[in-house]
Amino acid sequence: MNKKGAWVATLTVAFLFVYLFSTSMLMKRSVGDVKVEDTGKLSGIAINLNLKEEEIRFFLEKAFEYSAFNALKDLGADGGTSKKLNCEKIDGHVIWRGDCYFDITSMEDVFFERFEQKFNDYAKENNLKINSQHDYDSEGKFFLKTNGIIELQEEGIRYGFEPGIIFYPEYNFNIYADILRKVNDCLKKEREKGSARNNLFEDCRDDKDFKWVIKTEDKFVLFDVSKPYEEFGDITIRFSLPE
Amino acid sequence: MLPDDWRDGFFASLGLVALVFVGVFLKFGAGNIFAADTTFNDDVELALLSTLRIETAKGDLADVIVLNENDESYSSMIEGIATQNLNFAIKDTEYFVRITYPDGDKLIFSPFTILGILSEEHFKKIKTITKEMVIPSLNEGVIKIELVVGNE
Repeated sequence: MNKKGAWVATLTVAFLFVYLFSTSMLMKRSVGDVKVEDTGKLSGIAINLNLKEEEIRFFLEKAFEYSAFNALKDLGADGGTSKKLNCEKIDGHVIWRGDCYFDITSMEDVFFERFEQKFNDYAKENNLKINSQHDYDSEGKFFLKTNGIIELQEEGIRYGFEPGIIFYPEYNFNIYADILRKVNDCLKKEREKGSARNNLFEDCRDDKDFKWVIKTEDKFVLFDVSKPYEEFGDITIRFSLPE
Repeated sequence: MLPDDWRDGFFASLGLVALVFVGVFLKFGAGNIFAADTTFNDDVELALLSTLRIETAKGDLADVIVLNENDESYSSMIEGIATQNLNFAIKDTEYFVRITYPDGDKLIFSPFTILGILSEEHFKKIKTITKEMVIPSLNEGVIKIELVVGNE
């Protein structure tokens, strides 16, 4: 090797050594001595939040079902009247008279008054900030749905979703009109008995569509008219009418 | 080949070995970054939700659990479902579901346990992983449901 070649070779080796050393130092400074890369952390959080979403959806579906059942029970217990009317009762039976009647055109709204309260209570128990609302579909069928976004947070990661749960209560509010029609017929027949009146209301008691419990008190007839609702139990419509 | 060429070749090889050695000595590269073990318990998480969604003649299992609050005759149905569905046949591992009703009543079921036999003390001893969920109660409040994977 000539002298010039020796210089070039020495400088090349020195340059490579300096390059390697400085690059290594820079990497050490940025990475640290030992770095444990938690590659699954974000994925784990995403999976957890997604599962949490599924659990919340499940909870809300159940909350809708049970709130609807309980609201229908309460509505029946108040003879289908609005809570705002604060109707007079005899032995827990609303007296159907004056304004204190069910209004078949607004039964869904009166039902929703009670449903909303029950649903909110369930949501509060599970620390969920979500509302419900009611509407009618294109075929005019009444349904309930969630309104709002639920936000979850885990280790600084925020995750939001709109549950969009829709629920159709399996209940026909026209049942109130059917019962009133039957009750009026029974009362009419009982009145027609005149002095032979025995307050047995045979036609109503023999009716197979509902379970009837009828009794009289202070010149009023008290009715408990029940029908099973899915697997949850009976919904009883309670009311009273003048003899 | 001239003797000089042999000598230059020898020094060049020596230089290359020295560079590789220096590189290894400095741990050049990303050899000091390690990936942590990643474990997901989503099987346990999913198992509870899936168990509650099991279809029965009276709605899904969650509905039966809810109905059992007011009518204890449903507990035999829950036991039957547990026997069929929680027996994953994993060696030395048992799956339990513990239900706590709003009034404090508890019900524990698993394929290996006759209802009510498993005591709270026994339950605490075997508990290893718990997944907790709540469902609404038909009365008021919420029902707490836990899936416990136990190694006795």
